[in-house]
Amino acid sequence: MGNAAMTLELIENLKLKIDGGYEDYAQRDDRFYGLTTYYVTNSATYKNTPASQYRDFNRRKYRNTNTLNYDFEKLFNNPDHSLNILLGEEMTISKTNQVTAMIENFPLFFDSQMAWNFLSTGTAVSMANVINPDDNLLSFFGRVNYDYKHRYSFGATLRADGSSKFSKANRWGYFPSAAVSWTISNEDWMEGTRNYIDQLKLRYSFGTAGNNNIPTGQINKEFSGSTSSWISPGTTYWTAGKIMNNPDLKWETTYTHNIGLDFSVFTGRVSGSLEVYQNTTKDLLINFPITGSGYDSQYRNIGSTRNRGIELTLNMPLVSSKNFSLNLSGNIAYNINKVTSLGGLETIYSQSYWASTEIGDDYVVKVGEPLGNMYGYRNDGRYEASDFTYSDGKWVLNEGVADDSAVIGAQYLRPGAIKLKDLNGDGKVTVADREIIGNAAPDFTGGFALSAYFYGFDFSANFNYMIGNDIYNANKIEFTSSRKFYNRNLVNMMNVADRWSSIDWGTGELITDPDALAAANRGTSMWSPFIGNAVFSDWAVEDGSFLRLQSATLGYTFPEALMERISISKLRIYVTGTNLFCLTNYSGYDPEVDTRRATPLTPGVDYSAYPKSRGIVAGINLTFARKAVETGTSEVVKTVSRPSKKSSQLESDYNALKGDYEALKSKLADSRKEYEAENARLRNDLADANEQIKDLKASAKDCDKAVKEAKLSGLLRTIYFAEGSYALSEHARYTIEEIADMMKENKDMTLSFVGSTNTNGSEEYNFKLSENRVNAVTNALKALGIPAERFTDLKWVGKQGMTKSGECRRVVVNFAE
Amino acid sequence: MKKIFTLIISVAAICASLASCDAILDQESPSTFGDQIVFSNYDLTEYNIFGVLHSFGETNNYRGRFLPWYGFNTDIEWYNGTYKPGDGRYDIAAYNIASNNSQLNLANGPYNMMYSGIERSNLIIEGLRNYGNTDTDAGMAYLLGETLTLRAMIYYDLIKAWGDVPARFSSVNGESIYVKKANRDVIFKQILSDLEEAIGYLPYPNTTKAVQTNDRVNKVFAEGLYARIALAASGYALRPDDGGEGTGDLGTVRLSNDPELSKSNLYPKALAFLKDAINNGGCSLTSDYEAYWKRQSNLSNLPFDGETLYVIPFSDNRGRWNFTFAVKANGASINGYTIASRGGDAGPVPTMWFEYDADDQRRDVTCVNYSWGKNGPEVAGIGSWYFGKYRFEWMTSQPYTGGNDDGVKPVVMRYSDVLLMAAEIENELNGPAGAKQYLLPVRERAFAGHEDKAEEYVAAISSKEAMFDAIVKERALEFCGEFLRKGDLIRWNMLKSKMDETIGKMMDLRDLSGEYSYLTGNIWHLLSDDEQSLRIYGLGKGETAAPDASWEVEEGYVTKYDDAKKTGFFAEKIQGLYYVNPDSRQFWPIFDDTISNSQGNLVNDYGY
Repeated sequence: MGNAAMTLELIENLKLKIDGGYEDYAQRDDRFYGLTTYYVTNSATYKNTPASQYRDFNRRKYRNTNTLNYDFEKLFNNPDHSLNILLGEEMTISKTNQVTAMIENFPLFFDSQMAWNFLSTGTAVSMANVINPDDNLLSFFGRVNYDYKHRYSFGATLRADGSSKFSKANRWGYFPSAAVSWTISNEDWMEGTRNYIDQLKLRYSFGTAGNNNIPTGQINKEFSGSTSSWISPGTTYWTAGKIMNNPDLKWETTYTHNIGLDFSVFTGRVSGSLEVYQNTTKDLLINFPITGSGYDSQYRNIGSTRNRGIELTLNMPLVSSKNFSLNLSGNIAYNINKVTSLGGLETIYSQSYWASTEIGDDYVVKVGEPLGNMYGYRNDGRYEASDFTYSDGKWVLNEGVADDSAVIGAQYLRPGAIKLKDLNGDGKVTVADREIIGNAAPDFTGGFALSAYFYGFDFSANFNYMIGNDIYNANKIEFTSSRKFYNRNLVNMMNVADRWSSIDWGTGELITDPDALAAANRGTSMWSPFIGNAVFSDWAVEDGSFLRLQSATLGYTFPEALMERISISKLRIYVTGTNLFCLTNYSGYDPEVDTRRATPLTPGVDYSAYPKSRGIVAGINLTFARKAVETGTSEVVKTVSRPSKKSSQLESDYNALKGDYEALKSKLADSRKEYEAENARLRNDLADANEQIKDLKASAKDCDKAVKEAKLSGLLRTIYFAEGSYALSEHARYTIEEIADMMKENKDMTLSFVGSTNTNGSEEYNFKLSENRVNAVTNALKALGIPAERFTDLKWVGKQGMTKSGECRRVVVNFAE
Repeated sequence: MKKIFTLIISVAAICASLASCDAILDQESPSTFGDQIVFSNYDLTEYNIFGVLHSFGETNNYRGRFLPWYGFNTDIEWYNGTYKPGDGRYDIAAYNIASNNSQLNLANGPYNMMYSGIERSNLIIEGLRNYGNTDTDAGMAYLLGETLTLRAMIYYDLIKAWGDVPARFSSVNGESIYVKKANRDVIFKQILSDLEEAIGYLPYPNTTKAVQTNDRVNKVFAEGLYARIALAASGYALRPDDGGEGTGDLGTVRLSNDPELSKSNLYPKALAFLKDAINNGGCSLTSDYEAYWKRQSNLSNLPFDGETLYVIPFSDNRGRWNFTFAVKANGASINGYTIASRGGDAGPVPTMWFEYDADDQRRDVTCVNYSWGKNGPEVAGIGSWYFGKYRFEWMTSQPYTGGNDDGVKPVVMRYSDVLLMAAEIENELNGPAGAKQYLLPVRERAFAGHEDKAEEYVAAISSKEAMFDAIVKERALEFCGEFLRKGDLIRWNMLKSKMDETIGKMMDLRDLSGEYSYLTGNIWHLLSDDEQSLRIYGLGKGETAAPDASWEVEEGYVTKYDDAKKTGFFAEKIQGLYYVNPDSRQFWPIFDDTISNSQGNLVNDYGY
């Protein structure tokens, strides 16, 4: 992957940036099928011989971005206003293709490496190179930012994106955004609060964003070939695919409104922000199942959803001194999700398919309800012996007891079977007796962190929590139902002592007397695990609220003074624990679980998920001083062992810590990221400060200029003479004295003279007269102590360019620096 | 100056990149073709037809769910598995099926996959009509004929299984994704007229390169299919009131109200096609009945043999016909024919063997009463019979090693069906005289070596009713195990009555009463000379003692049952031939997965 950029300043304050990038991605997926695999024994064309797959996926992405940025500072020449305009264009081209080959009929002794290295020894049964349509995006965008006195700012952006994934009519999406903010704390009338309010900023923004995250090639009906080993007349077949095309696909758009208040008070002791937002997403792109029409599914823009919520973030560095600091931070978010439209449909049912099709629909999306609604039966405990009478060798359900044989299977309906509620009162429990029994979305989410420093010891802890989410505990159903499998009744809650048994454990026969049956099961509470189908009821929906200590670190940094003596600039030892505890009422392994992710409509299912592990890592940060080693701040793990230790001991220590090295590396990468984020923030602050300084400097410069100009404005002096005379009048002498004073005051000022006369008289005569006049003035100045070096230009023009007026009988004295 | 220069250059660069604007956003995959190219080319169109054939082999389509489950129980074939109402498998056979049936309620189940095949055919037909030049190009016309016939076959199977279904005769577009059920008469009329068109394009079997094998459609198959569908459309069936399909209508067993689908309209057309097939098709019956079925099991029924008209074109790696229906193998059998229990899911009803005359060569090929154990063929009990037409031990050129597919290509239609349909229609229109010439060849082949018996029998039929009864009986004898009976009984309005007859006969059999009173109740058995089958003696008339000492005896074989313990030939199993009145359940429900994905457009009828 490579990127290159070039910035040109075309004219002052107009910058053109040309940016380009190239990314090359390749992925290999090679497989080997051995003699006991299902593929080799059943599906292969050459059965019972090893087979292998070669698959090579390539993607090449080209990107070019051009932006033009103009800063209006010079044009305005006023530090109160700042305006910045950016225009840009971007094009991204992405080309992909995938080569897949299936080779069978290898010699029996071949293993995987041999099969991949000697592909020609097998027989190729299929070979495909699928070249996808290019995924191209062309965008034009513009942005305006305006700021007044750093109190009021306004910004607006408009973006137009055209994607090749959509057809011509729907290709272009237009996404405007705007934001305004009011930095209240910079107002003049807030002067009095500067002691305790550092920053108070109110902001509102409105934005739109587009999403085109679907595969390419969805708009046209196109035919392509595949290999078939299922039919006798040939080995190739062509179809239009199993996903139906949709020429009406268009951009999915998200509209966000956001009002926020940023605050920082008591010199940063408490800072944070409060935000209220609403996000609406329209025309969601979903791969919608349409089985029964001839295709399996189709991508569509369907429906809209809305999220509203409030978020509060707080950061409180409570104490901050050289040897002791304590910092608390946290955030909490409250979010409500609602489906506002399903494109004409009232409900969409979906299945999680964890039990294949045994359960049927277990999630429902309804207009006006949030996503993630679980749909199932209400559990009513179990059938007791008193619900049945035993006649004719069969258990017959008594009148008035709801019959759930349609759900669990007719031959499983007997005392001890699971009982479900009949919600519609028809005496039977059928698919019509289901309702919404839970929702996977949480009410509150967030986290908090605390960090402290005390004389060299540092401690930090990060928590995260979620309140109000429900979890579909499919594992609980799986391990308490026999269904059509063996070895499913595995958990202790179905211990024979706690659940229903229909067998007399003494004789091994089924108990047929209702009283004996009831007596045998006194003291048990669970139903019988013997059931025909998996049943989803509210017994399997649990509250998944939790509080987790994600990580905690305790470290100690050795005093610098001590370390400097041995050329170490920093030595810190620490121990970190990850996932130390999770407080929750959920009975499964881990409440943060979402296993059925094929569709976003079935969240929160816990089926066969791998629980999070707990980790403890101990480590050392060691930084050598610059003079000693030119390694900068590279982290090194050293075994801390004294030379007297045996080498085998050293070796085992080394091996033990080597294992931890990788964990340390990633931990350090994380802290480096945090550090850099902090750095970036500080840099931003610095940039802001620099901006302010620049402004001040500019205004200072202006000031000086103004002062100078003021001084110079009244400095053009004219000395008048009588007709035909070059004698200095009283007034003239006075003026010359003033000039001399000024010259003495401003040592670097110089003078230039232009002498002239009126038009009476000849050219020659006036020329000489003007010369005399100039000399009279200069001599007078010399007499007052102004040296001749300070006279830069002595000029006399006679009557040239003059009039009859007496005003022209003059010498004009100019000051210059 | 320099600055203006750079300004111009950069603006020019930007303009250049913008100029190729729109073109860059029009993208197509180089690995695909549009329909104009595909359907004006013979090979590419043929590959699309292979796409339709490929859909037959989908895991839970014809291969794994439709062929193994459709067609029983009837009065001649029944499910050999455990009698267990509530068990998904027994329920399908015994007309007790529910819309969440564990075997058939699948996302890739037969209904969904058949419509996938229909959509592919619709695309081909539209493409050929638009771009294929079928008027002038005989090759493309053949492909059009083949596709029309395949679509008709799939629709006929959809109607057989589900009754009224959505009528899709053009490719799916944005508006037609969700379609309600249509009255099946609409579909019948369309596919019958499609077949009339297709018959014109198709060649007779084995006359062109394309139709040298039975996995491609030929004219005789299309003509036979026309007759088969015409008989079904003009016959009885459980139908909702006209306009009541998809409303939860219970339906009544009646004929169609549409005059175009009346017997008087359809029968003459069908007979004309059948006569053309019989006179000009170049077909003939294989004289050795067993040899005919050996070919199918041995995966060698693809080359034209005169009798086979069309097979489901599974490759040697696909298909579950023998896996499901072959003579049962219990676990790993001797000679290694299987490595696990396979076959024998369904079989002839126990009384079927007795329906055949002793000289009918079809009797011991169709009905066998042994299964394979560890040590070879063993008696299976009077209640468990298997189709001897399908045997693992005949799979010699490609032995079945026990995987999930066996490669057998099931026969869709045979020439004897063409003959018997012609006899039935000719009898209905013109009386028995003209029908005898069609019934006779079937009978003669059955009585190979005793042809005079066949001639006598046919000659003795004197009335229309007698001929009809003879055809009803002959179709049972000829097609037992091929699952055509259910369709026949439904269209004759005899489904429940014939099944009740069979129940009565089975109860008689186990009590050695009625027509079975000559039995001693014992049988004797002996391994055949080639050790590939078991000879059984004692069920025929006059077989009262062992032929010689080498035969082993099974005392009380026929009367072995315990009704209380539900073992052997127990009463509930016999009466469980159907669990619910079959005339109210002639069709399967559309299963829950499809219903829930139809966004309310599909509703089950018939009380489901």
